[in-house]
Amino acid sequence: MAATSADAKKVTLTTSDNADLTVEREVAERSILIKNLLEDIGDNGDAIPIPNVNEAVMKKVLEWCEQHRKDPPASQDDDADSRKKSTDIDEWDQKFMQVDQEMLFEIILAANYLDIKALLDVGCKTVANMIKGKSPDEIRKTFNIQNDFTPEEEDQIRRENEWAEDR
Amino acid sequence: MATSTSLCCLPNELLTQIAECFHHKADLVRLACVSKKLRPIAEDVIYRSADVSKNVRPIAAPNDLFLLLRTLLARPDLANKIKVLYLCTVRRNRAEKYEQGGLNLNDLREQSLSKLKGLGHGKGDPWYTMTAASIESAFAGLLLALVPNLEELKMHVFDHLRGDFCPDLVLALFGTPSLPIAVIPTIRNIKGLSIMADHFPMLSHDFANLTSLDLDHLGTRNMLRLNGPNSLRGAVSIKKLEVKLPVQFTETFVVKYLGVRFEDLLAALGYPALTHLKLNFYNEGCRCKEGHILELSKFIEEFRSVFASLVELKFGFEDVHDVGDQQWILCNSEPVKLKLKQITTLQHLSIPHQFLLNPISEEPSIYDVLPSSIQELNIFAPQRRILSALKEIADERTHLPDLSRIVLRCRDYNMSALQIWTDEDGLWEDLNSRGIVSVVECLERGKSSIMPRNSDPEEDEDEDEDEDEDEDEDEDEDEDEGEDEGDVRDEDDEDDDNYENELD
Repeated sequence: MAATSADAKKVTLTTSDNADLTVEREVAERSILIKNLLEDIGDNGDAIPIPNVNEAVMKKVLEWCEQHRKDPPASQDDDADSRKKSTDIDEWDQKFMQVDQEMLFEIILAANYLDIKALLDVGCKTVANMIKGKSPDEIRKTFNIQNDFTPEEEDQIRRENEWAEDR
Repeated sequence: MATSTSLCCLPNELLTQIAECFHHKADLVRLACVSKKLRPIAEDVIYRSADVSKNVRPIAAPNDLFLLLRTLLARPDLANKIKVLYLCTVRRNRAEKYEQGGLNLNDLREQSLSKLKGLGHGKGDPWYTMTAASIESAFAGLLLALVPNLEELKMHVFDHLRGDFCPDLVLALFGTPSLPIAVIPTIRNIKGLSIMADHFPMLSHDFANLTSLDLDHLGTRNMLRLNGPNSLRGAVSIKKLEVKLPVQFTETFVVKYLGVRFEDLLAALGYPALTHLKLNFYNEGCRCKEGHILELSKFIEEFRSVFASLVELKFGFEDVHDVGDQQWILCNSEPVKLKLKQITTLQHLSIPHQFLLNPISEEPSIYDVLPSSIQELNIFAPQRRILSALKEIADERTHLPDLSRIVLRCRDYNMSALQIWTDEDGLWEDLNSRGIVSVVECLERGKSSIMPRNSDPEEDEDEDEDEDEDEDEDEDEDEDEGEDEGDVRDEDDEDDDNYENELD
């Protein structure tokens, strides 16, 4: 389909470390925050400040938005549950999420701030997949978490949740 | 942003969202053991719902509801989180079995009795007496009193684990025919209830917020136990009703001679203004070859009281796994004729082909059968006649202006999904060009084909997109009539291959 001039319009985003990134409006509008901003202030060509996201993370987020620019908008509630329940991630997204942990969590925070639901979902599922099937100790090791329970407390938690253990 | 972002830097709402991704509670339990920060987050998700129905039947294991009860007695904060509960229990003392399964029942019984005392049910009270006697269902009753924020309850209570459901559920749970004050907040808060039809007398109690009711196995015997109109007024505000019932209720003979009608149930419920009605049929009788006519047109009259409010109507056979039963039901069915037309608010209809249209005759036309408000049509076990009916829809769009989705769930014994998908050249494209999405499912193999392709990315897993697109173009070109036999054959073959690709 031929793009109209409006479709091809570009917007500039200024990241927290003062980098200007120019992208097509359609790509940027995968972010509901940016979409609403553009609708509210009107597109007067000024750069939009994104004070909570730095350049490296923003570039990564925009890479995802570019790949998913044509995705249909997420439906309101009907499949929300089924989407949440599944830890399946499509292949491109899986590769996209092969980053170090710091970047992974930065992407999740950015997706949350920028209101990009589908990206946030992929991020959360990626973390969930890193936890799935692991023992508490393995989880602690994976994410460098200090164990602040006594062995008795840990036993107590297991006992409390015994009814849920084989679910 | 912080220079080093780690899991524990994420705000709680995002950690909760991660916790919501798990299928298995065991993963959440392990997460709860990781650290003090993660524990309440995992618990928050673990305790939204509790399914303690699974360990009822095995002889030695203690019913999981005891394990849940033990926790909730000690942790009312967790009990308050529970919104969904599924439990199964039996009105028996199985103490010996639980001890074998490693449960310290004595401790739990003492805690339970002390809690009951606190709720005003001390020594001499029937609920207390039952609990002291280790009757399992009394513990289930206590569990219900501990979860005041419960919204959805699925509950099966047996008199015997061999399968006799107890007809006096309230008595089995609390020892009295009336509800104890302690459990009234829970009962009044429940929005969705799923019970065996044997348990229906409990519906005479005030389920003030109940909007959705699911009655399993409403047999003739249960219908004969109804106390007449308005006797189950506790559920009068329900909007959604799902009932599993014998297909014999559609048989004139049964209705006439046994005096059992589906309408009796609606009358007992006080004629609720249902928006959703789902009727799941099973076969209660034998599969005699002759003499049975399932008159759907008459049966539909049974729910005339909801003709003005019904938005969704589903006829199903979810639990009829016996294909012979399915076929028997369908073969003996006479279609609804013109009755559905009277449900002028109907938007979603799910129905077996033989209930909807005469498989052989072209009369009445699908327009005469369906109300013009229809938006989604879902047909089970379609036959060849459905193809001409759909062609009618494609040709005369104005009769059903809101129809936007057609789903055909095919059974090989009527007409295979492959035949349906390939027999009528260009039909799916025609429907698509008129704004109707078509889905053809093969129930035997659990696969489906969709037009337009990729309209529903979750289901459609085409790997051969290019091929499909080429083919679409070809078909668009010869949508004109005057089809050449040879061409059609080729198309069919191509379609067959393609279809196989999709399905395998």
